[in-house]
Amino acid sequence: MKLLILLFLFCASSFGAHAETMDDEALAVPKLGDIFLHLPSDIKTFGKETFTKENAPLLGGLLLMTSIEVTTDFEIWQVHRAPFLELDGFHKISNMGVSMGDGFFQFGIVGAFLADGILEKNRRGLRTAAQITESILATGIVVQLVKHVTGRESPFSSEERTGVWRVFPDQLEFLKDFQKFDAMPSGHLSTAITTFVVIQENYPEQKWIPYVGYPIMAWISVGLVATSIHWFSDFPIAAAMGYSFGKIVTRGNHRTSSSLPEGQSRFEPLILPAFSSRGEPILVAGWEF
Amino acid sequence: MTDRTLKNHILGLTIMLSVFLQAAVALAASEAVPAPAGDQWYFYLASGISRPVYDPDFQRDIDAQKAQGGSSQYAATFDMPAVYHRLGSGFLLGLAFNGVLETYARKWQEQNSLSFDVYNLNLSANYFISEHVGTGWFARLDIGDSRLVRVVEHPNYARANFNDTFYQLGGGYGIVATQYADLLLQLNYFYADYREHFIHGPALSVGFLL
Repeated sequence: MKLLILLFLFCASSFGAHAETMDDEALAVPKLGDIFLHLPSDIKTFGKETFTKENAPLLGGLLLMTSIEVTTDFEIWQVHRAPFLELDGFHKISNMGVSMGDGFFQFGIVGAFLADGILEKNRRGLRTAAQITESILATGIVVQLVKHVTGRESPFSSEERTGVWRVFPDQLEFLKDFQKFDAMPSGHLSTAITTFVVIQENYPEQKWIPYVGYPIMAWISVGLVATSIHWFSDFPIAAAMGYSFGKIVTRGNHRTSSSLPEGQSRFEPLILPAFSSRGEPILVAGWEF
Repeated sequence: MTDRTLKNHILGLTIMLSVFLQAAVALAASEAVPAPAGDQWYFYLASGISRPVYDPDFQRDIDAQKAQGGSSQYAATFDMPAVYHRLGSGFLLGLAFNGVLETYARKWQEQNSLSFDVYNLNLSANYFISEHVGTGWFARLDIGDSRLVRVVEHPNYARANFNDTFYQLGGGYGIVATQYADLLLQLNYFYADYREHFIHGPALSVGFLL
């Protein structure tokens, strides 16, 4: 066996998990076309990494939680609906929550980051805008696909206590009266969560983001139930989908020293067994910094 | 709407919003502070179903509603959130905000429902037999303050509140779901005592301990 130092891995991306390691100048900003070109691989990654043996407890838990909530959706909806109809303040708050979950608000956030990126020459802002767009589109595609399969009625147009499910509905009927088919899962919440995750992943040094972000997600959820757009059970799977796509799209952001295994210094070589081009067993040593 | 009804609505709404906000802040805290092996604080979020049994007075109301076609398969239960501190190996003590919601109605469009909504703030204890928080068999005990809100929509809108004590005893099993969360399946039995009224029953829930 030969000991061979083959290469030094210069992962020069200086964007890190901590502010002090960040250098915005070196950030790679996706091009406009990349946003669309990445979508197939994002969706493929989502499918490949979600449905694994390791994820079985999480998927089982989400499925069980959703099933239980489907059974009791009517009760949860009623608790929200009554004050929505009778209290003016709650009516307004709920509608504001819903509007924060729609496309105008989320693409408004994209516009804000884009403007910041262009005007301030802030590459991180540009990358955040691009990644939010990519994650919203990827999440939206999968959410729409699931909606078109599950065909669940929204509370507003429900004929039964917890909405009729018309699995694989007539797609023309779907387009004519989508509220009868598009409750599960919530596109509002999944895209809001994916937006929030992308922002959080791009600004990890801003510790206040989750304290603002999660209450906003809760606010959107309350609004969606109170305004009879969604059932409570439409949320767990939507939240998981949005979260996953946010993590997938921002995966390349943290290739820095902070991504090294716990306890390993950036000055210690990472030694791995490998084979040379002639098939001989060798050891490869590299440094990541 | 009378002033009293309005006040009751605002109170109910405040409770409901506080539930969501507490849950959201709990999630944020768990996200901001990743849980290492020696973590001291835990947050629990869960949904569940129940089949409550009511005292004879309430049961008469329910029977009358059912005679008109009002139905309820199961009551909804939730823990959103429970916040725990680890006191010893496998022992958690904290505050749990939970509830039981049940509505008898045939169709929502008819505006003819009867609802019993129970909100509880409890001192809650969990003991994991494996002495490893989040995994294996565990027992749970809750004692706290309870508020029952009964809402009748028909023939006239009426809302009544009852306050007193809530007890819950049970247990379940936990498995690792992700790096930061354990999945808990629980079966509990609760008893809410409002002196002249009571509600009790089993509650099955599934949730994530973060």
